[in-house]
Amino acid sequence: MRNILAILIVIAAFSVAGTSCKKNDDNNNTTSVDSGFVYLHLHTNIDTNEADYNTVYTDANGRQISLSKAQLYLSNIRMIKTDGTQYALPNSVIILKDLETEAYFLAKVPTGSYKSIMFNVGLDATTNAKTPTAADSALNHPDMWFGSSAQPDGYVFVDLEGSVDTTAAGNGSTALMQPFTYKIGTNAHLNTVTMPDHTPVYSIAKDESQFVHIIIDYSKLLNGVPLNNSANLSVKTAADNNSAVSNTISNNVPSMFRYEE
Amino acid sequence: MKSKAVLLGMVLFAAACKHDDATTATPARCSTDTIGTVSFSRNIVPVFRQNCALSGCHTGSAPAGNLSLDSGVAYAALMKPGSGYINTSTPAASLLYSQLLSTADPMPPTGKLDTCTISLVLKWIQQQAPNN
Repeated sequence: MRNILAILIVIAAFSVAGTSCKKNDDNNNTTSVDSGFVYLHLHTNIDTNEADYNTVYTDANGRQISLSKAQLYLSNIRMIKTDGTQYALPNSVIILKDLETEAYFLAKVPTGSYKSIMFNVGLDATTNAKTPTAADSALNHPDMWFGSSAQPDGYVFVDLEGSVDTTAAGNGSTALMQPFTYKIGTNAHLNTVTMPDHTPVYSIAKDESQFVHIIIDYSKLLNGVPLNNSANLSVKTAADNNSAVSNTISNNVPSMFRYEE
Repeated sequence: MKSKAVLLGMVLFAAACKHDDATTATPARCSTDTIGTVSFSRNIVPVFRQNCALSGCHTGSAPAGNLSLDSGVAYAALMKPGSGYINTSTPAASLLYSQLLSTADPMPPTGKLDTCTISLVLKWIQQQAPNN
């Protein structure tokens, strides 16, 4: 009888030992994925200068430029893991980057190591055909519509306005700078940007915030644009987006983005 | 035999909770823990001065990241609307704090600050980042 009692006590002890850590084990086996918070920190630049509106800057070629508007859409954002696979953020994550705002919360992203980020500059065809509601905070911006409403012409993907030295040599005076407006949009001008691998990698830790710092250099948009022809200083409508100058500007979009060092 | 079994049971029971105890160990105390209200000028600015507002970094007319942490302008620069440097509603999401923890873009680049200093910065933000 004593032996039986002793055996029962030992079994009970093992049982307690096995279950007393159950709470921790459950935490480790939970089906929810650990995640951290990912933000973009976006700078608006003209070459190496952080830009403010209505201030004259000089680009890398020595050409003077000032901005009165510089904003764009980022969408379909994906974090690229070190093994090359992608983690796509929800489609609802659409950033309207304006000059005044630098920090944008993207989403909670599973913990792990990520080497890069990719995104669209502009909106996919479905979103571009959408009429926004008041709740669509990024889309419900009349200044980013080609018309008085978002449809039928869709959204302006990149809006760059200001004044620029239009001399061929880029050595004109500030007083003679000419106004320009480039509203780039339409489905044909949707660009995908894949940032280079970042070193060190981004380590997303549970419940911690990770910022991805990117400079948007708007002066790059003007590369190859014959600015000394006044006809090349205006892209304002969806129809204008069939022009050669709109193609040139659109093709320059990926070159605008670089990591802040 | 019975007493040995009871003893074994007690040992197993005690050992079974060792893992919990280890993970909730109290961290070493910081000398800064005694600071009630963190002062921006007395506690935070010196951290910037020693680690951030250095030549070629966050100082002067063309500071890194367009963020000057020189004592006279640091507060205004950090509180610039839309910058994200300070987030008093979610202090741990403040860019200033996040960069101190970051391994991708560590600040300072020369090496992480000690945990007590980082905690002090977070505490200041949690106290609504006053300009005091």
